[in-house]
Amino acid sequence: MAVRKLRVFRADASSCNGCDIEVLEALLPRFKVGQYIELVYEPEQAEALVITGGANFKTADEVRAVYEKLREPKIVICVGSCAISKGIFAEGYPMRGPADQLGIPVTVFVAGCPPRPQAIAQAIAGLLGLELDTSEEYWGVPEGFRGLPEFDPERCVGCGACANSCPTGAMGFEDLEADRAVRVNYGLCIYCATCQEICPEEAVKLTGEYRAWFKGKEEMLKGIEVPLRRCANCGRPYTTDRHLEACMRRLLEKSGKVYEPLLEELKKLVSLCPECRRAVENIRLAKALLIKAALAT
Amino acid sequence: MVGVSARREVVIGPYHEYLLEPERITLYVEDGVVKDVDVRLGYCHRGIEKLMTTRTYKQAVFLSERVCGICSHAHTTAYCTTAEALLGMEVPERGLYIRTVVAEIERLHSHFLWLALLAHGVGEHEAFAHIMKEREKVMDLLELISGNRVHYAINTVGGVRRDITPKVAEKIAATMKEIRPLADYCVDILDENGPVGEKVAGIGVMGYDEAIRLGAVGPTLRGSGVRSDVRADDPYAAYGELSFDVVVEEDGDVRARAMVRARENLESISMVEQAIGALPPGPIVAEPGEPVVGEFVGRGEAPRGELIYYIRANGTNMPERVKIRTPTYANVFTYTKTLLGARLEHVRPIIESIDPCFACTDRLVIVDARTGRRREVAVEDLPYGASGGVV
Repeated sequence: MAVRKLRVFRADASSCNGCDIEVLEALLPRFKVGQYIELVYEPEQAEALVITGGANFKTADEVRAVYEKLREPKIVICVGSCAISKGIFAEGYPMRGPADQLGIPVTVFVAGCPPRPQAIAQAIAGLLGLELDTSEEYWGVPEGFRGLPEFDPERCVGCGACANSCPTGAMGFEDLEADRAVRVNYGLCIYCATCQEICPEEAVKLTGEYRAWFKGKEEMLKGIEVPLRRCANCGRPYTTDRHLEACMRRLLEKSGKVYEPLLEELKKLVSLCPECRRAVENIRLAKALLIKAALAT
Repeated sequence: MVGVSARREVVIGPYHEYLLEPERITLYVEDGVVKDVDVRLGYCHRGIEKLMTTRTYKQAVFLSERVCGICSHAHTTAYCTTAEALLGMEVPERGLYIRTVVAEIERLHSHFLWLALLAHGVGEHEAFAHIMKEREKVMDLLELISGNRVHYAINTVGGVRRDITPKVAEKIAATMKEIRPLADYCVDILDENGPVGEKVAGIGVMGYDEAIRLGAVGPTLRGSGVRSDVRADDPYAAYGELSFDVVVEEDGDVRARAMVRARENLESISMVEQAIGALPPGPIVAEPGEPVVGEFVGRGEAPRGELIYYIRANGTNMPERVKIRTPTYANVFTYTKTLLGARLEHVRPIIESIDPCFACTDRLVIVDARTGRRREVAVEDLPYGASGGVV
C-alpha cells in the first residue's frame, strides 16, 4: 500500500518519560507502523502531534504554541493517563493541562500508564486506516498483565473500598435515584491493581485487555450499578443492599456463636442509617445488644 | 549573562532533536567552541514531593514510581527502603531478592536504551536499531514479571506485591542467556576502535577531582575513575549477598562513561542469575508497621547514580515531608565542566553522556551564569518559593 508518511511532532508536556519511550518503541519495526511515520523536530513540518504528560506551568504554553504551528489536518494523539486527565498528578500545583482543556482538540486518546507500544501502534494504524497483522504472540498479553479493570456485576457490593484506596481517584461511586453507580475512569487509572488487591469480594479484576483508545472522554467511564438501601426510619439511602448482606455474612462467619441468637435485634439496628442509629431509643437498643453480646463471649 | 553580546547563542530546546525530554539549554558559542552554558529546567516539574504528603505511605509508592518512566523501580526501591526503616518494618528475604532482580533487569533496559540513543546520536543507526530490537526481550520479560513494561508496581512499603513463580524464574534465566550477546556487543562497539567508541573517545573529559568537586554520581562519577556505588558501599535489598564488581573506567570522557554502563550490563546479568538461583522461600511482604514520629534518609543506586530519599513522619498514615535527590540533578552540574570548550558537533554526545533524566530532575529552575571564574546558582520562578522547600 502506498501511503505517504505521516509527519509527527512529539511534545513531552511534563511526562515522566515512560510514555515517550513507549511512543518511540511503537515506531520500531516490530510494531509495524514505524514505516508509515516520520518523526520531525519542527512543528511547522508536522501534520500530527503526539502529546504525553499533563502539561505544567511551563509546557502548557509550549504545547499550545506547537499545536498552533501544526499543518492541517492537525491530528492530535494524547498518549497515557497524564495526557488524558493529568493522571496521578491531577492535584499537583504546577499542572495546567490536560491538553483538551488547553483548547487543543484531541483526535484520539490512548489510555494506559503507559500504554503498551502495541496499543499506540494500533491506535495510529486506526488513524491511518491500516490493517495491522497482529497474529504474533507479542500482540497478546502475558499472564498477570495489568490491563483495563473490570467489575464483576454479580460480586460487587458497592462498598467503595476501591474508591478509598485508589491512588488517583480513578475509582469512584455516586448515589443515583435507586442505585449506586460504581465507576472506573480508564483515562485516570494508572493500572496499579490496588483496587484488585483491596476488594473484599474479589469483584474488580485487571483484565488482559490493553486495546484502549477513545475518541471522547465519556467513553472512558465504565461501571456497574448496585441497588441502594434506604433507611427503615427516614428513608434516606445509606448503603447498598448487598453491602449490608456482605457485612452480616462476614460478622456471622467470624462470631456466629455470639450473634446468631441476637440476629433479629441486629437486623433491626442495621436497617437504620447511621444518623437514625444515633437517636436515643436506638442507642438504648444498641447498648442492650452489645451487653448481650459481651455476656455471650 | 555578562559579556555575551559578541557571541553566538545556540538554544537547544525545550523541544529539540537532541533532547528526549523538554529542557532549554543555551550554549554561548565562539568559533564553533562552547564558551558558556545555561541550563533551564522546570518543563517536567509536577510537584510530586508535595503530592506525596497528601497520600498514604502505600499510595505514595505509585507517585515515587512516576518520578521517572525509565528507572521507576529504583525510585520505589529507595522510597520503600527509607519508609521501611522509618516505620521499623523488616522485609522478608524473598521480598528483598525479588526487589533486586527487578532492579537489575531495569538497569539493563535503562542502560541498553541509553547506549542505543548514544549510538543514534553519533549516527550509528544500525547499532541503534540492533540494540533497540534486542532490548525488547528485556521489556517483554519485565512485562511478564510485573504486568507492565514501564511502571512495574512491584514494590510496596514492607516488601513486594508480586511473587516470582518457578515458571517466570525459568524465563528470567533463559532471557539472561539470550541477551548476554547484546551486552557483549555493546562493549565491542564502544571499544576505542569500535564504531561508536572512536567517535566519543576523548570528548567531554572530566577528571577524578573535578568529578568529585562537581558532585557527580553513578556511571558519570565512575567514568572518571571514582569507585563509588551505593550497592557496594551501603548495600540495601539483597545486594549484600550477591558478588559483583564496581565497574570503573579511568579516562573520564564520554566513552568511559558509556563503557561503565556497557560493562555494568554484564554485572547486572550475573547478579540476576545469582539472585534467581538463590531465591529464598517464604513470604514476600511484611505485616503493616505502626505510625511513628521521626525522619529518615535512605538511598539506592539508580541506573543513573545515587538516589536519595528523605522522609519525615508525623505519626499519621501520610508522610509529612518527602525530599528526593535524583541522580541527574547531581550530574547536570557536570555540564559546566564537560560542555565548556567542547566543539559544537560534540555537544550532543556530551549532553547525552550523563544519561539525563529530566523527568526526575525538575524541581527547581536553575540559572547557572558563568563568566570568567565567577559562578552563580540562583533559584527563581518557583510557585511556592524557597529552594527545595515545598517543591
